Amino acid sequence: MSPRIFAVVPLVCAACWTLLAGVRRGLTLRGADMPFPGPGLWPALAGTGLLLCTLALCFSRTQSVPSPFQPLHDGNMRRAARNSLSGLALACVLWLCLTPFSGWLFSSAAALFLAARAAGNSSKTAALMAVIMPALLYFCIVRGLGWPLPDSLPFRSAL
Amino acid sequence: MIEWFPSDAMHPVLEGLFAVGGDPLLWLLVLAGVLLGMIVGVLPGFGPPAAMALLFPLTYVMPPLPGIAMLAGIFYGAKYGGAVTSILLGIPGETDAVATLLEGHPLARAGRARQALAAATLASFCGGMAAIFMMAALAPVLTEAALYLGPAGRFTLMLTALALVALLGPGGFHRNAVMVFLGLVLALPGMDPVHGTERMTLGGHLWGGVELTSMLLGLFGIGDILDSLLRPPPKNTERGGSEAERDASVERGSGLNAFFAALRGSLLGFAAGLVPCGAGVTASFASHALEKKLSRYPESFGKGAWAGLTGPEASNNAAAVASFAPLLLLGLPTNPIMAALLGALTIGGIVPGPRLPLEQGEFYWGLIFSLALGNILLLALGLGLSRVWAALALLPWRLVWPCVLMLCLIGSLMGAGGMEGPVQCVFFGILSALLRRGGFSPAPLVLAFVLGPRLESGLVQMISGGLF
Repeated sequence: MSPRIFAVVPLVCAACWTLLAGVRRGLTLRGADMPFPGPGLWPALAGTGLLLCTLALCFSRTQSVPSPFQPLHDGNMRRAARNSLSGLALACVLWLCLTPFSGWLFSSAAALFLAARAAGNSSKTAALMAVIMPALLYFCIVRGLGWPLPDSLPFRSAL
Repeated sequence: MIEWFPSDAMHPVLEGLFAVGGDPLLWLLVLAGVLLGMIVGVLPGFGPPAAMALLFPLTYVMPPLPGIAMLAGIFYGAKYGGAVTSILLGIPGETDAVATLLEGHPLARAGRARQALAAATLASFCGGMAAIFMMAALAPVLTEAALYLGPAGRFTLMLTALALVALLGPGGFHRNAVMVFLGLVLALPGMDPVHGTERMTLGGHLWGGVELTSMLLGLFGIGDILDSLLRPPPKNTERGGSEAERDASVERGSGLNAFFAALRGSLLGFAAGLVPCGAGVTASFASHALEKKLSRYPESFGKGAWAGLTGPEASNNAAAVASFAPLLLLGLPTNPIMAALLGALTIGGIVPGPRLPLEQGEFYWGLIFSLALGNILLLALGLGLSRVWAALALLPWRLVWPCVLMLCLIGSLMGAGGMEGPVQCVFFGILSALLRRGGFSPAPLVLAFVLGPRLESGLVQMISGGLF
């Protein structure tokens, strides 16, 4: 199956969903003497445009540009880059899971340590980064600018 | 005829001057913006849209003028920073800096790195200042012309801007058109701007719509990280030729030529900056080609010609400054950075458009003066800290990206005030990586996302007003 299908299918789905959502909401409203544009008109137009452009892209011949990326599946990728990518994904998941329960300070330190290690830094450097960066942000943003960043238990109850 | 300078009030230009001159916080923030922009420009793999998105939430707690002036400083600081890596390492930090690399790196290899950096800094300054003067001079003309535009005119202008983005943007017409419509679709969830009803909120999860901050941080912050990890390591674009050959090829009698090249580049850059998408790259390559055509030593181009360095460098900074004109006077962002600035203006309660210099003259002229201040700071920092930039360019990426990742997540949490921001940020990061792998550029998507609600309101106004 052509890799193009992976790009086209989600785009066509999004376009059809938008188009249907627009049509369901009504393209026109009845005014006193003339039809008034309904809340579904713009979504229907945007959905139709996306659908037509995606189909045009699908059938156009001038669309194959050489990819600047290394293929992920043929073992060609550098080990360091693979480690970094998995570290980045894990750090994001860890931060998103931890923040509502422990607050952004602790979750940022933990996720930063993980990401820094995965990036190829030593444990000492990663630990230093994990301490310095959140502390710096805390003093600059929360203390310096008075920005109320959601943190720990009050944040949990707000969720 | 518009009364530009009402007699009963202080001259708006003076108001702007006092707003900048009497605000030390603004000076500090412009300095911080320019510094951060230069750092971002020097670091390969991390672009100015991501840096602006990181500082975007700070504009919520700042008065509009200092906040926008800081974000603007990042923009033109990064333009200059891109030139540093181009000249010293042969790696363009920004796409606009590729033309600078063609002449700057051979000069550095010929042992004239410091002179090349100084020439690039002076040319950037010259381009920026020329564009600021032209913008100030053209403001009354543009404003008077824009005031004649009705709803249909404004709608057509926005539509033309999106069509130009699709035509001129990176990635090709078909891909850009898809991105434009995807941006319009992504702007749909949330509150309908005309009827005030909820739509496409996925059961209330997207009630507030897609967050601009999270989108920018995801597409450009996390997107840039993924991009740099997935791409092969950059190759240093060394060129052949002996040292003697390179020395001989450097254009003679070039001081005055380089100055006039910078002036010509400024004019070209200003004109290109008014057109949506790709302005800086187009202007810098056009300037390089023009200088080669006008030169008495065209054979020296590509081997270290001073005119080929100063022309593109001035044009790319002039284009950066000129792109503020359509944003401020027409409310039309011409690139993703201007789209972010439009968001920041809206948050600050500033309505960009032809009436801006008339109704908020202090802000308008204050911003123009802050751009001039930023350019002077850029000159001082560029000339004074060239060694620091050179050292920073060699900072390992493994130390940078984990910090950028954390800043993106925390920035989106600040912007949204809840966990929906970081979730959207990660989603857009993954989307950005997938789009870039498919050869799509996220820039048209962001522009269409910002213009979407305005286009919708314009269309409904036109139909309701019986213009169809």
